[in-house]
Amino acid sequence: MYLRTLYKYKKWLFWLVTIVIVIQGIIFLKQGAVATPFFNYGMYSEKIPYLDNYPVYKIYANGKLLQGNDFSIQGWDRIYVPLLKFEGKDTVNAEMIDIRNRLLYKLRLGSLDRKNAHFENPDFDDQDFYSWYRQYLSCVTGVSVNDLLIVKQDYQWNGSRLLPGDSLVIWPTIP
Amino acid sequence: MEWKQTPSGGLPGDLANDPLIRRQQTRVIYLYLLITILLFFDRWLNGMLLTQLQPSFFVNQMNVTMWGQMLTGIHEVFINNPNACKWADALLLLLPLVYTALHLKNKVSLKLATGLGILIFNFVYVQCYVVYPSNSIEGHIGWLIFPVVLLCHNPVKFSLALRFIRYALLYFFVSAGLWKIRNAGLFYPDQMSATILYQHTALLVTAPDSFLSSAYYWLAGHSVISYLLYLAATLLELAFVIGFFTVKADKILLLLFFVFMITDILVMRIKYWEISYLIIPLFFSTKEIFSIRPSR
Repeated sequence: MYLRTLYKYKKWLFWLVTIVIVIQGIIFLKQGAVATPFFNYGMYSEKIPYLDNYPVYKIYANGKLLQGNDFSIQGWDRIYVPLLKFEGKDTVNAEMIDIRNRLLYKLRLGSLDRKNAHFENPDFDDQDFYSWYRQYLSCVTGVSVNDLLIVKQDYQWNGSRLLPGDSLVIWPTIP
Repeated sequence: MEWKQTPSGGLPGDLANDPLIRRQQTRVIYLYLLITILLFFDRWLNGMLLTQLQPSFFVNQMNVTMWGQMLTGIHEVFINNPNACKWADALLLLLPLVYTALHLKNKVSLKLATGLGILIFNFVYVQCYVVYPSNSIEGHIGWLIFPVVLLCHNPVKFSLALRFIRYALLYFFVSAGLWKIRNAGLFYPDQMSATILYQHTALLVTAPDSFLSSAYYWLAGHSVISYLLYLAATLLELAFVIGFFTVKADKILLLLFFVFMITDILVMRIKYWEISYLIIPLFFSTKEIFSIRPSR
């Protein structure tokens, strides 16, 4: 009905909306990369099993463990997500750069992969990140963070609680 | 409906000047502005403005359009650059204010140019914002596509654009339900218990004795009840399919939208208010502005 109305009104509008629907349909069926503003809304739709280990980054600022319930939802995300992304090596993305370069070659735009510099964080190592993160935490928590300790610890689910397992100090690194 | 007269008694060709249609168009724009202001202050209060995020690094995502934008290097402009972040945040609020003022002053050309500016700016802003550790891009769909309505002054086009946004909302929910069937999450009895553990691990570990952690532990330990929540959410999402056939249930869909948003905050600790732009048509689907049909 809507498409018929568009067709009667302006044919170009009809074709525009039809193309939008087709692209969204392809994105839905292909189930891979998306293209703004065409997304897939499959959040938590894949089977999520219980894990053997639940790794957690514990953040100690000035010797005090930061607790999730002391912050708003987004406040906690603001603290935790940058650490998660950095330690998850999402800043490197070698695999994604490879996928993108293959796509560029398919589109005969191979020379563009020279612009990879724009896809890589320049000179951003652990020292840079944690130096920035300490200052950032000071802003977020409103307390000057002089001493920062990050511990990664595995937890196991026993059916009613998460029990602590092995832990490793991530920052500061021991020389 | 095809009017022989405009709602206020004018000729059909004079819809743009019909007081009732004009008033309803203005209300749509007011609602757009109100949502923009609320979302802006929500971000500000939660430290989620670009300025407050203080981007210092970015992450790549599987998004072809985003790669195209990143080739320009524009996302690097905001890295360690508080002034650029401040300007971008200011424009996020200022452009809709300017658009509304131009609409009220009836400066059509300038208004449409600003509408185009909002469309382009939001597109660039959102694609930069989500490459820094912030939020998912999917939730920003309203920011990205609602400005299409702002490109329309002609009431017929305005009405068609509003209906397009309404279909986008319906697709958002229905496809989310379909994905849960397609990816088989719906057929896995432990899905929601395991999801809660996965989603709230850091909270459960750092604040194990808090009320929230107790509630999440209880849900994680009661798979059947958790699964029923997941099933209910899926059914709620699929219920939006009715909107493809009638506008009569739009008020119920509006209610379901708020139920979904609040439940998502309580159970998953995910705020999805950014998509609120998409519900604007639901407020107007029984009004004249929504039922304008082009004459042959």
